[in-house]
Amino acid sequence: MASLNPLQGVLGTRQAAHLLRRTSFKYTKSKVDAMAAQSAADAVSALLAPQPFLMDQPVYDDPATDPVENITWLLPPGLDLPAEDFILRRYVLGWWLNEALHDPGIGHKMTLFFHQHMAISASSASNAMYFDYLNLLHWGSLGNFKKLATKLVLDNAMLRYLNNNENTKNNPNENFAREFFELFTIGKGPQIGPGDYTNYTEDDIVQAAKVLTGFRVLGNRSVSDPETGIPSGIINVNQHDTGNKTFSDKFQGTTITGGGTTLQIIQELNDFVDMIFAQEEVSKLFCRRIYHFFVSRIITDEIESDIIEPLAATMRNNNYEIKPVLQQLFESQHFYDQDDSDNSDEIFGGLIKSPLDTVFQSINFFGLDSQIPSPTLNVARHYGTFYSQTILNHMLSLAGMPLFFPNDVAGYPGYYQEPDYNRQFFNSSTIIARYKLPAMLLTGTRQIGGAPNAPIILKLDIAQWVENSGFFSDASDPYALVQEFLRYTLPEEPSNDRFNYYYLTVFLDNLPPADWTYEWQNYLDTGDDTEVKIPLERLVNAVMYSPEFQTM
Amino acid sequence: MKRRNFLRIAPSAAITPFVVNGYKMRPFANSKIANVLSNCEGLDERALVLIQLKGGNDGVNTLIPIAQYDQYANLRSDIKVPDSGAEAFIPLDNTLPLDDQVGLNPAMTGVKELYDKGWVNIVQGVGYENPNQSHFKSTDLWLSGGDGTSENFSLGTGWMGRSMQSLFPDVLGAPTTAMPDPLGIQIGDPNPSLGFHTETEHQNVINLSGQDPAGFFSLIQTIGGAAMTDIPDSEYGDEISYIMSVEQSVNLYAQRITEVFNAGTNEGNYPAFNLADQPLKQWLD
Repeated sequence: MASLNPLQGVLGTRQAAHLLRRTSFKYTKSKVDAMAAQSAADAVSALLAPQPFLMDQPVYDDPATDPVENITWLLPPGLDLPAEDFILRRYVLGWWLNEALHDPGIGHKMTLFFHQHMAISASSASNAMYFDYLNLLHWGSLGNFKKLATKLVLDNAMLRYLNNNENTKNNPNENFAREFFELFTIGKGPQIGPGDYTNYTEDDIVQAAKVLTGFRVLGNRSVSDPETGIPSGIINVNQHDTGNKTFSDKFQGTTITGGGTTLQIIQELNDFVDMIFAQEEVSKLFCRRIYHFFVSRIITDEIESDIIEPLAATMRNNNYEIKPVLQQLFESQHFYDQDDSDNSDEIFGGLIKSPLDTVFQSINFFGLDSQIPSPTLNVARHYGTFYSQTILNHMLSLAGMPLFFPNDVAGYPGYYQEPDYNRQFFNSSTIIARYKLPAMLLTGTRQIGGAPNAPIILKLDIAQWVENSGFFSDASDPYALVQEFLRYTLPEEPSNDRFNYYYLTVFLDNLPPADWTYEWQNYLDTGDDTEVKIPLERLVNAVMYSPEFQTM
Repeated sequence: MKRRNFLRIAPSAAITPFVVNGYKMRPFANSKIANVLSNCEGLDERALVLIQLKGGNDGVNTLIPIAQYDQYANLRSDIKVPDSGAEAFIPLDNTLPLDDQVGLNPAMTGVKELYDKGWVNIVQGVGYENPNQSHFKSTDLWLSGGDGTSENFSLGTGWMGRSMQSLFPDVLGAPTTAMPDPLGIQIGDPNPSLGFHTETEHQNVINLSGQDPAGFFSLIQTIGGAAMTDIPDSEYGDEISYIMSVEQSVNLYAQRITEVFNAGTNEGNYPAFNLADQPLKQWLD
């Protein structure tokens, strides 16, 4: 029986690595080692602790490369410069990516969770609106789900993306209301009659759309939400449907009293959200999505009753606070496959990494983050060449994850498309970008696409990394070197046969171990890495394009 | 099985409404496309190309209902396509019964030309029982060939995948003498379409989105290591098996894809927009 009972004792390397891979982009050996000595409870508390931004917004203050010198990166109110707005989008996206790459906790992974849960494409918002949207998701990502869902109604980018901006009393637009039910909160159950989707009805959508009339985009950022401090849209009382709204028996026949003042309209919105969140299904859908995102694509009846339902109860008992849910899940015996007699047949290695997980964890694992150009001193290369071209276009889009540009509001198929979920991330189209990642890092060039020799900005000098990273107990011992490398790169220890493939065939090329020891000493003495680079690069390539490495 | 069997859904010779899984289909243009198909020799060497345009489309302004034009114009007074003047719709086919007659959006001159050659057919009002109204579930139902009834609501496999599997039961993710090609090639979206999904997860469909088919084989040869032999009996092992099956199919089909692609040439000029820019064009020539 699957169990949320808390895991006792210290984590150890295997479980610490598992926890860190699933929850953070900042995957490093030193972090794994530190967590290995901690209990699950302590390690999870640290991961859930709020982390300050490195920079609370993108900046560029390099006049030499600045295409729009002397204006702030966010277009001042009233200044309409669409061309610059488009160029500046990369600053917003690069800002989020740089924060995510460096975040030692779960914060940005949770922002990504909410982005794919309540997706907006960057192509349909101004850079300022998209920045505010990302900021709002981050604000709520470890806070209160109900509150975040409420704030999202007045988010400028969302108002525009799902057309609620056009929803008025005389001309209702149901688009946002429909997705608010189906995707963001309660979800669509089985269709049990015409217009009856178990959890709500077509008429409920009509009523909800009326509640949601009169919310308007305000592009100049002059009004902010008092609680978040983040710019928001506004309420136009003249466009609001002031009648009462009565919902079906799915919502216990609730009637929401209509009003015509700003305060009354806000009250209506709160009543509406309260009404939805009073239904247990909201917490269950949320926990299922969390489970698919962090744990597994498979939810059996047993998982539903033993994991999802108690997690959902935790969420409701805590008034939709997110942290208690994550805490209970990541501290549970179930998350570490310790809830039955076999602790190596489930969960570990059972999820295919997203391209973002693969790329960011690899960059951090090899300490390549130190080579990223400075966001304040080398602006064009930081936001443009590195984050926009290398990361977004090259490493993520070609691997099937057009981050921030999802096809539609459902997000990325790897996170939602039944029955395959994360398997969507690995197929005959994405295999090349994924399997070329080690070659990209080792050569510092793109390898694939239109300009395969163009630099990616980073380059992994493998001999120097082995020598100086402090990763290896004794780099002159080839057996220990391969064993330690595999322990932190693969989700499970390899079998003897598999280990021998990496050790004897790949690394030693079937030569005696003493040859490596000799060459390594020679490298330390002379600084000439020609001979040691060959087996090291073979090992990095073979591991990173192995099936094992694609999973976590 | 011959490839043309896939097309048996198309009615033979003189056409009246035909029935697919209990649904009455009534393609107008009476039989033009079916006649073309039934008169075609060498269909076995043809590929069926399906193009999915993702997103919303204003159907009623794409195909203007001529018999109900007054009602249409009344309901859409601001955005109607006029029935006269420079921007008027293009009457598609005045030999059809009036109820079947439509006007094409004036931008669709190319479609009109193709229709007149008998190369285009149009099926309108395609739907399913108990419409679900969800953008996403509806797409899933469309690709899985399901409907809103409880028995067909969550099929989990795609209609293309099921068709190909039943037509080619011997093709298990690898070329055979009888069928050296991948059964399907997907282009455009790097995420595999649910339509190609099968129960067995044999990788009979190759997704080439964003790839250069001319160099596909040489690129594939540079990646990937030795296959794992002792796959653990676990969820981890299941994912490894899945990944290895993708690897294997890509490896086995890559050479064929590159050879076939390089054997073709582009004979026409294609406009510079997204769809025309896909490698598809070279295969079609």
